[in-house]
Amino acid sequence: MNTRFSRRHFMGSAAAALGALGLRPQSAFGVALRPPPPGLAPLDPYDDLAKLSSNENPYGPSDKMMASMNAAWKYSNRYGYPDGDIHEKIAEHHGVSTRNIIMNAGSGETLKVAGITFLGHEEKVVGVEPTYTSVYRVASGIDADVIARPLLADHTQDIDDLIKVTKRNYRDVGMVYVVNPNNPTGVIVPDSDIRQLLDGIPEDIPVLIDEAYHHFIQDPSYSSAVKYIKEGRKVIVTRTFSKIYGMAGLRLGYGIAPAEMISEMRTYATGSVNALVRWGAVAALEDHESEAWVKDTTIKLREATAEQLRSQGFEVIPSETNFFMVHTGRPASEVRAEFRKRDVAVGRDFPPMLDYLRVSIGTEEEMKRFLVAWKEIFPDGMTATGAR
Amino acid sequence: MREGLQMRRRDFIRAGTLGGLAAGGGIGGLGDPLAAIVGGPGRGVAEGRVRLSSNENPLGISSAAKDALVEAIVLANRYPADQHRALVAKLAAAHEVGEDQVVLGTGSAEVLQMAVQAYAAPRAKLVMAEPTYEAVTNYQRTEAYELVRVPLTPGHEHDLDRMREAAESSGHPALVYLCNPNNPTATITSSAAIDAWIADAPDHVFFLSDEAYIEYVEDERMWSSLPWIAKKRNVLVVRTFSKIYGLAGLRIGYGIAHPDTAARLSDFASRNNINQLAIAAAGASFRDEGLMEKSRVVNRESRQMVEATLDELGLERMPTQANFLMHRINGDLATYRGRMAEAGFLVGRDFPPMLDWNRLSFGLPEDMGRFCDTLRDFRGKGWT
Ligand SMILES: Cc1ncc(COP(=O)(O)O)c(C=O)c1O
Ligand SMILES: Cc1ncc(COP(=O)(O)O)c(C=O)c1O
Repeated sequence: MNTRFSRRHFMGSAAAALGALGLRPQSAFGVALRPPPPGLAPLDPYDDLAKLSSNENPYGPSDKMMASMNAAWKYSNRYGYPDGDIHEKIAEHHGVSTRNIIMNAGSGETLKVAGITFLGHEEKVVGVEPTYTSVYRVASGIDADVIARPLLADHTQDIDDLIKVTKRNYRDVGMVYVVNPNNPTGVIVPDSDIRQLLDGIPEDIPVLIDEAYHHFIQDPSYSSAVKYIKEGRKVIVTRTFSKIYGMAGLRLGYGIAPAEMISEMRTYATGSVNALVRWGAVAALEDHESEAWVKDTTIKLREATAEQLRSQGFEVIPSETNFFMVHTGRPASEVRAEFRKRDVAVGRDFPPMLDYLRVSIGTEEEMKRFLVAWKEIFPDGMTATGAR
Repeated sequence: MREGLQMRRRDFIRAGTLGGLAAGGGIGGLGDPLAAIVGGPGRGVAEGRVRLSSNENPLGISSAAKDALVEAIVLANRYPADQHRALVAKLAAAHEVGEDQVVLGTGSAEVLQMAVQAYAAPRAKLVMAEPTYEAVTNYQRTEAYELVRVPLTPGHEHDLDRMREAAESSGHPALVYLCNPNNPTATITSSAAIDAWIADAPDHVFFLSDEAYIEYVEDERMWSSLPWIAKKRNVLVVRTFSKIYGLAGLRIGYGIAHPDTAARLSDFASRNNINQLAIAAAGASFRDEGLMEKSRVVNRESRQMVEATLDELGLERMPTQANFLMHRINGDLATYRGRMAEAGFLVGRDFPPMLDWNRLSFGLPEDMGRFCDTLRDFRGKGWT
C-alpha cells in the first residue's frame, strides 16, 4: 500500500471521496467485492479480509521498530541478553521507578495477574457491562465473582452507581475495574469521575484502570490515572503496545502500580517477554513521529467513516479510540454475517448491546470496503422501523 | 508516510541477511559480522562473556526457524489466535493427542505456573526434590502450598518412596513436581519407578512432569510420562522450545494433559499469550531432525571435553543426561564464579544445599575448550 498516495487521495477530501464511493462503489476505487465462490473456500481467506474486528493497528510496527527488532535475532536462544533496558525506559516514560512496573506478554496478561493477585476466593470484581471481559473471565476461572453494572443511556460509565455498589458489597469486593476509554463503546471516563471514584470508595480497594487505548484520546477532560499512583493510591494502570504501536501479535503490555502491589503481582507471573519484542518496544517509545502519524490517520479515518454513517441516519457513538460502535437497529450478529460474505470482518457481540456493531479502524482501503458493504447491507439507510 | 507491512518485511529480510542471520546462515548463523561487537550465538552477551549459566542452546535459532520468523513479521500487528490454533493442531497431531489436550505457554514456565495456580487448594502440598528447578515454588496463590522438599537419593534420583509418603499420607491434594532429567543435577530418575507410582496413585495426587531436557536423554531408563495422559486426568507433561530447539528468548513451551485437565489449566493462561514470532519459529523447529541431531552432536562433543577435563583434575562430577552437568569445585562457590566471570565465563548459580558443586551449561565446543584450559589454569593457581 502506498500511503503517501492514498493519504493525499483520502485525507485531503475525505467526505468527497466517500461521497463518490456511495454512488459508484465498485468502479470508483477499484475495490473488488468478491463473494466467495459457492461451496469453495478462498485459498487464504484471511488475507482477503478487511480486518475490522479486533481493534488492531493495520500498519504494524514502524520502520524504526522493525530495524530495532532486526538487530535482536541473536538473542533468540538466550534467557539473559541486553534488552535495550525496556523496563527502565517504560519506567522513565511514566516518571516512576522500575519497581512500579510489571511487564507481561500483553496487557491481557497484566489483567489476568491483577485478577489472580487481588481477587480472593469468592471475592467480587465491580465494573460495567459491556466492557472488555478478560478480567471477568479470570474471576470466574478462580471462583471469584463479577458485579457488572449497566452503562448509562449515553453509554458512559455510571460512577455514582459503581461507588454505591462497591460500598454496599465492601467486604466482598476485591477490585474495581474501569476500562478507559471503554471497549467496545470507545467512550472515556473523565478525570473528574475517576477522582470521584477513588475518593468515593474505601481506599484499601484496588482500582484497575485499563488504558489500552490511551494514545488515541483527544478529549481534554480525560487524563491518565498514572498520577494517582504517584499520589500513593491503590491504583493499577495497564497499558499495551498492541494498539498505537501495532504490536498485538508480539505480546507486550505492562502494569503501573505502587511498588508493593507490583511485587505482589510479580509472584504470579513469569515475566516472559520475547527478546526481539523488547527491542521493538524500546524503539516504539522513541518513535514519536510514527505514533503521531498512526493517531492522526486513525482519527481522520474514524471521523470520515462515522460521518458517512451518520449522514445515512445511523447513530454512531462518539469514540476516542481506534474503533467505534454504530447502532444497527437489528441484531449485530446478522449484520456481521452479511459483512463476512463481503470479506469484511467486524466486531463480535457485546451483550447487552446486541444491536450495535463494533468496527475497528483499518486502512483507508479497508474503510472504503466497509462503507461499500454497509451501503449494500443497508441500502435504504436507517429507516424509522430500524434498518432492514 | 508508511509502506505496507508486506513491503517492509522485505527490509526486515534484507537487513537480516546482511547480518548473516536470515536464510542460509545455517544453525547459529556463525557468520554474523556483528558477533564481534555484541556477541554472536554462543558468545556471552554480557560484556563478551560466554554464558555457561542458563542451560541455553549455544547454536541459536535454526535457519528454518529464522525464515519462518521473517515471514511472520507481517503478522506483528495481528492477534495470534489463528496461528496459535494451527500450532496446537501440529503439536497435537505429532503427539497423537487431541487438540484440546495441548496448552501453549510463554515458555514452559507459564505452563508450570498454570498448574501451580490451578491445583492450589486448602492444605494442599507441593512435593518436590531438593535440589530441583525452583520455578514451581513461585506463582502460588494466597492459599499457599505446604512445601515438602525431599532430598535426591545418593544416586541423584528423585526419592520416590519418600515423595510418595509425603504426597499421599495426609489425604489432602498434592502437586508432585517431577523434573526429569533434573535441573540442576542433569541426572535422571527411573521412569519404571515413576510409572509404578502413577499407576496406583490416588486422584488427589497430581503429577507435574517437567521434561524440558528429554530430547537430550540417551539413557534407556528414562522415557516420557506422556502415555499416562490417555488414562489419567492427574498427569501433566511439560515440554519446551527453549532447550534443544534453541528458542529460549522467544518464549514458548507447552503442556499435554487429559482434555479436562487442559481446560482447567487454560483458565490460568493469559489470553493470546504466545507471540507470532515464537509461534512461527516453534512451528518450523518442531521435530526438525537436522536441528535436533546437530544440537545433540555439539552437546556431546562439549560434554566429553568437559568430562575428560574434570576427570583429569580429579573433580567429581555427576552423570549428565542434559545440556549441562554438576561438578565439584574445591573452595568457595561465589569466589569460583567470580573468578570464572573475570576469565570470561558465566557459570552456574547457587543450588542449595549443594554449595560445593557448580552447574555448568555446555556451550560451543570451541568455547568449552577455552573453558577447560581456564579450569586447568585455576588448578595451577590452587583455585580449585
Ligand atoms: C480494553 C482492553 N484491554 C486490554 C486488551 C488486551 O490487549 P493486549 O493483551 O494485546 O495488550 C484489549 C485488547 O483488545 C482491550 O481492548
Ligand atoms: C527443568 C526446567 N523446566 C522449565 C524451564 C523453563 O524454561 P522455559 O520457560 O524457557 O520453557 C527450565 C529452564 O531452565 C528448566 O530447567
